[in-house]
Amino acid sequence: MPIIFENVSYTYGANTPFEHKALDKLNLIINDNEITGLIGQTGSGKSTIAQLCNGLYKPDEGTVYVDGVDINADKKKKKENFFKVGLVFQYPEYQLFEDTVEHDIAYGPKNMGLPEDEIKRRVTDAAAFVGLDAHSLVKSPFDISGGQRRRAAIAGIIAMEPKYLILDEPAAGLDPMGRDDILSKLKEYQRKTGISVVIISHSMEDMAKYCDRIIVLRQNGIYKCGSKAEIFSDPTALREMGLSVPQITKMVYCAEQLGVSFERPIYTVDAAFEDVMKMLDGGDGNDT
Amino acid sequence: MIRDITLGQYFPGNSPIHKIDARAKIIMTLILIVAVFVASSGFSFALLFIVSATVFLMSRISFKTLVKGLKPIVFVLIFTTLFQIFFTRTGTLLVDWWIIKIYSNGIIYAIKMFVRIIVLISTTSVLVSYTTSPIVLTDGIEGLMTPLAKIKVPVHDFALVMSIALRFIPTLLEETEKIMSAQKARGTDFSTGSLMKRARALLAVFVPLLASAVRHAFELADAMICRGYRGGKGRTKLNKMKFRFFDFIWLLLSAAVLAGVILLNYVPIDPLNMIFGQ
Repeated sequence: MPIIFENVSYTYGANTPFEHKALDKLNLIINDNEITGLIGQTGSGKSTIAQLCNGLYKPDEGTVYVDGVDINADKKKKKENFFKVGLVFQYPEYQLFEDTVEHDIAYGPKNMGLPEDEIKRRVTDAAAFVGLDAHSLVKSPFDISGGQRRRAAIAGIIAMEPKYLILDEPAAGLDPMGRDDILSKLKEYQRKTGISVVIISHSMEDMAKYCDRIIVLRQNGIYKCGSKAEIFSDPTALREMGLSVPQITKMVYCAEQLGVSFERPIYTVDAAFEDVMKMLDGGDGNDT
Repeated sequence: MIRDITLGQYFPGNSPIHKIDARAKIIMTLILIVAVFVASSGFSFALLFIVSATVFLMSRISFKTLVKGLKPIVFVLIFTTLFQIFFTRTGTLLVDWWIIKIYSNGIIYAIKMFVRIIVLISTTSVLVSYTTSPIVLTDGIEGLMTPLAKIKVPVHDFALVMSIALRFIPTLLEETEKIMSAQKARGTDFSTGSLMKRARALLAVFVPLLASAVRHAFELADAMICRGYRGGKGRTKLNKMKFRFFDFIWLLLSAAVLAGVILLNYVPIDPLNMIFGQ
């Protein structure tokens, strides 16, 4: 079952001089078994949406349904929602606090009240999945590198084995290799488990490469949601919102102006590479 | 939410009170505090009450804000007032019922104590915290303490430490809120369970918070060094504080209030005594 937002409004600091309406009557569906990308300029309410999904924030108006149940209806089940909808905050490495990485990853599962051996299995699985070796598991989270810390923090949420996994800028501040590594691992994890994953990001490249469906937000509302083709078909409108299509799509567009035609719309470098190679092979055949 | 705490909160504005020089405001506050403690007769308390009400009205701060600021001392206020009423044993006996004996002086002292606390809290918060931005306030304190630099007191360093501390209160509050949310999302329960359990839950907030405070300190120190910070010597200010004619008037007015309070103390008739029959 999907996560559904129905006419959700949220205001920060209501009734103070610093009042700011983040969301206004938002309707939104996050589908099952796919990776949804949430993109939008700073201040468009991406992080607010994330925290509404697991019940950390309560909407001023409207309802958030997870698995068909209004998550704010029953106060006693609040904790269950946290375990059902796993939320990885921005820069999650700053929330690590236990004496070892292993204990920190086990923190969430422990709060769920799971038996000891189940916790152990989950920690091992989660650590293996994010690529933390046994050696770094016994270290203090303050002694490992920033990239490792990020992995440990994400593992801490994955170890709770949530049905929905929401990640707020999981790759922010990482080097290109760490970025690709974490995102492709997340994709692999999603494909393996069939859960639904939401990735919040600023990068159109990441969206194109890893997401099945993209939701574009503008100031307190949705601009568009749909497949890559639907989203990237109108580069001018995207640019007006301070966003753009992936660089490679721009380049392919320029190439097409010069007379090179591609068979399909291109959103990732890999796809472009494949097509160009095909064109070179299929030309007059003299090159090979 | 954590942000709701009014921690010496500043409300930007353009009222006559906002425009008073910070140094003048600090001195005015000190003078008024002295006046509050010197006051003893009913007339002088009336004067103080009128003055603080006027200052409050001129500041255009909403009544709601003022009440909210008084909330933390409600308990102290009620406690001291009741204490005065029930445990003063001088003056004429007004009520004698079972073990409760209320004397006229008890009521008079209670009223005085009540007005004293209300005036004290409202004038200091209106004059200093609500209408003066923390940065300007530290500048003011530094300005007033400058003469101490002559006897080798590191005034500039004190002021810097204070303004950095003030500057980081909202940052650390925001961070606390963020860490608390993140830990809540991992199932931390801050509000139920045994004392031990709750202490452990708080550990999940304090450790990352402390780590980030230390991180901020190092980053800030590096940034200051990179921008050539070398202490207070020869340092000039972008916004130099100016002591204007009006600031002198305000100072004179508060001095006049103090003088008025002292004079009114010597008026032989006390309205409070008259009302409660002495």
